[in-house]
Amino acid sequence: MNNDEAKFILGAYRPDGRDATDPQFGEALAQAERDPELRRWLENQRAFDRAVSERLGAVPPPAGLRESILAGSRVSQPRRTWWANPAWWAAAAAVMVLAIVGSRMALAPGGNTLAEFAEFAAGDIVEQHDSHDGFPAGLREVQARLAAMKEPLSRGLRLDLEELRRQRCRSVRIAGREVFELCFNRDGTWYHLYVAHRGDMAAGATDGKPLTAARGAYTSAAWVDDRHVYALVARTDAGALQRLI
Amino acid sequence: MHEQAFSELVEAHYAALYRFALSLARNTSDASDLTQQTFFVWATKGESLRDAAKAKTWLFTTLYREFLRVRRRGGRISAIEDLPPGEKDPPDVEVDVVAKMDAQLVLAALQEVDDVFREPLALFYLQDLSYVEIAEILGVPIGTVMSRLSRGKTHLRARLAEKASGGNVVKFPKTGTRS
Repeated sequence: MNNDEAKFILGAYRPDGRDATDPQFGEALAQAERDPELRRWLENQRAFDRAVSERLGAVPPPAGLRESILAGSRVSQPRRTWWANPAWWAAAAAVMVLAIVGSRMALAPGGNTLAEFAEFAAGDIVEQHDSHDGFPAGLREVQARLAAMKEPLSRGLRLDLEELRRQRCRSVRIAGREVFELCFNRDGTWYHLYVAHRGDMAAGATDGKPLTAARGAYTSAAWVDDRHVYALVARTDAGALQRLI
Repeated sequence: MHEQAFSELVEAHYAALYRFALSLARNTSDASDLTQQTFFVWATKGESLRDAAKAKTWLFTTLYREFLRVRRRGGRISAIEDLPPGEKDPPDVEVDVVAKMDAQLVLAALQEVDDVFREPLALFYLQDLSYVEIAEILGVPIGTVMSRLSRGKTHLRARLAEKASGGNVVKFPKTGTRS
């Protein structure tokens, strides 16, 4: 290796010396130890690199960029990010109304619980849901059926999730699983029905009774049947929801 | 991703990413957009990255790809091909002079270096990135990185010498009237 070749390689040598043990630089560094001219060149090169690096490092990012990134990510992160956030759970636990009817109804060992599903639905309404404008036309029939249903929702509610997807029903995700949300108005109150495949939620045995959660002015009630897991959310109290269900 | 962890990730890398973006895009607005977009991509896709130790390389690679993507689509990021052709290289610059230069002037000198050399130089001077990581981010062989660093430093020294001697200054026209 001549000095030109050594300079070529040492041009990539970082000035803080952290590459000292990289075998790629071994021979060139050894040559710099032996050759005073190459050594001087390397010292000058490292000093130059340090100076440029230090100067470039002094260029400040714009004020507010960091805050802007953090704020932007909060509204951009997928649902599963929220779902996996233990800090959120800790905060939500403080406001959640654990009106568990009967024993705790886990959907399945290791799966998301019904309580989590209820809480998720309430959180989605408060944080993500926008206006009721622009419903896909293909959903009007099912919305009308929900609004006019005489029997409790927990009985006889049969929804085709594939059809909901085809009709571009709004959907959100829990841990990567698709959850559809249908809005309907009954007696002047807007209700939001969240529905997902029971299999997607790894549903296990429950006693069939709904579980409620609250978030701000909204209350959510979740239940399961043999095919699906549901959560109904409205700006009302738990009693009113349970009467519907 | 845990919000606290995300916040720490932003804290650790946003400034270096912004400086890299600034060296590419050459204006603060586009650099901010690129930085923001990079973290947005992380927020939506970064969870798929299993090896947390590679987060930094992932972020720089993503920012670089975003830059290329916007440039390809003829976005508003300044096209580096539009730069005026380089003038004859002025003499080399002393290290002491560089150390005393204003940071913005050093950045301006870097921004005048041709993009082929500027990209690896910007990553190199962020210090945390090795030639291997630079090669990974830019998608070029290690030998190419070394070559570009070597030649890029020569170009940068020339631009710095020019700045240090007060060259390339935009002068106000001497004619005209004050309103």
